Amino acid sequence: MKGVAGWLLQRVTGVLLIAGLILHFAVMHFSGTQQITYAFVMKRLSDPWWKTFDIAFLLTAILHGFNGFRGLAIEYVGSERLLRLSQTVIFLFAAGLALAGIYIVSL
Amino acid sequence: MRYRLQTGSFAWLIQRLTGIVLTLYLFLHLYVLSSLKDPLHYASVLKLMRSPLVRVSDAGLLGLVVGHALNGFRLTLIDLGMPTELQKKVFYTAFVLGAAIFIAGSVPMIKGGR
Repeated sequence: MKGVAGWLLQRVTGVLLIAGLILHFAVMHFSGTQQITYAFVMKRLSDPWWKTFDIAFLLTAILHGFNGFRGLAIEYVGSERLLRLSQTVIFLFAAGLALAGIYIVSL
Repeated sequence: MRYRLQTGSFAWLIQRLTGIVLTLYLFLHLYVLSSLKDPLHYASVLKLMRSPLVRVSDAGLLGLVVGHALNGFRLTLIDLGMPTELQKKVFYTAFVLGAAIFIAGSVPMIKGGR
């Protein structure tokens, strides 16, 4: 993926995250934390729509965050070999976090 | 890379630092969610989440998120070709809006018992 695609991905996921964040905050924080009991969370997670939203939101956040890390690596890592290594490490962390997230949410 | 600290480059630097913290926070967030596997464990984590320290950190997190989101939106507008003379105006508007959201959100977070 070259520069422009990375830049565009960052803009698109960024705007999506703002929309997702408003919903996420409204449900999880302003509905009253005393309500966020085990039963509340499990009930929401058993709804396929919420589950889909949560996974999509998480994956978008991971894509945005680690694409940002990738951008930083491209900008600050001078050596070609080190850059390739850091991009691999960033990808592995992103993939690991995504898999763990999907596993946790779909439990 | 060297930065000359004017409002514009300062905003870029802030964007990078908050972005790094927020991405690392994803690990912590998923770790907390992983306690959902066990109701008893979740209850103990939830108790921790209601401690004053975590509440204050939560408010700090809200500040980072709001700042990063609004600043990112502003930078996107600039990339899309917003006229230069509007830039400062948008910067201060975003700042005031962000501060308002942060205050409105963090007060109930810290006070708790919502």
